[in-house]
Amino acid sequence: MNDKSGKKNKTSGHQVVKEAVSSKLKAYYDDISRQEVPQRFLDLLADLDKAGGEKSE
Amino acid sequence: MNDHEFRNDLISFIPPLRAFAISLTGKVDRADDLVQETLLKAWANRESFEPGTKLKAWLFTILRNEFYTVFRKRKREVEDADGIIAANVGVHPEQDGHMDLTDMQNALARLPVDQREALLLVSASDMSYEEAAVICGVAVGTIKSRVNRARARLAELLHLKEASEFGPEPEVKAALMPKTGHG
Repeated sequence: MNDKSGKKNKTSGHQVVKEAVSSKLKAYYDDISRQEVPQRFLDLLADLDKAGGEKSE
Repeated sequence: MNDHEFRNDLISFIPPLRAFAISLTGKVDRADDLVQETLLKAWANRESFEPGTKLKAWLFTILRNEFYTVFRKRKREVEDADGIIAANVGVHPEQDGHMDLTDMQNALARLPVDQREALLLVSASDMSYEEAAVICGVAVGTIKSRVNRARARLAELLHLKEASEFGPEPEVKAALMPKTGHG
């Protein structure tokens, strides 16, 4: 019936929009994730690791 | 887990933590402060982390708690900042192809924060609904409805909602068009 196919089209349309949102969000997110880890964080963890190692001796 | 392993694991989770924090706050400098606080807290509490459980979820929980601690302090500022948050994003404007990034950041900034975090956890950070529910301290159903509302709102904000508004995405537009045309 027409009703049924109409409903189906609407649902798949929602699905497409949902996927479009998700893929745009993913692309945006991956873009940020690919940025290099700031050196300050690596230095911070190196310092913590060093201090922790000394403390447990 | 020894300290060196823990440190290496922390380093491996910095990119997803930053992505979450930047998307949540809309500001790189504030996000990096959150990440730094998260790393410090994680390190200080490394004895209480149970190996075998998910470090990523644990770290996200710490970052989220830290965010809300700061968020409450700056609540008024944040409430005033609809749109201003997005304007302050400093994600490499010098690079090409970042117009979309700004559009997305603008749109995210306009979502209520509970919807924003739910969407980011589930749709971007690869968390399950269950993990997101634990991280946010709410029921799974609450996360699901927040994610759905966030997606719908984001679709509106990005003009993905209606086929007639689909300028920039011909492929998606094509996919959205019903196969039986009206003539």
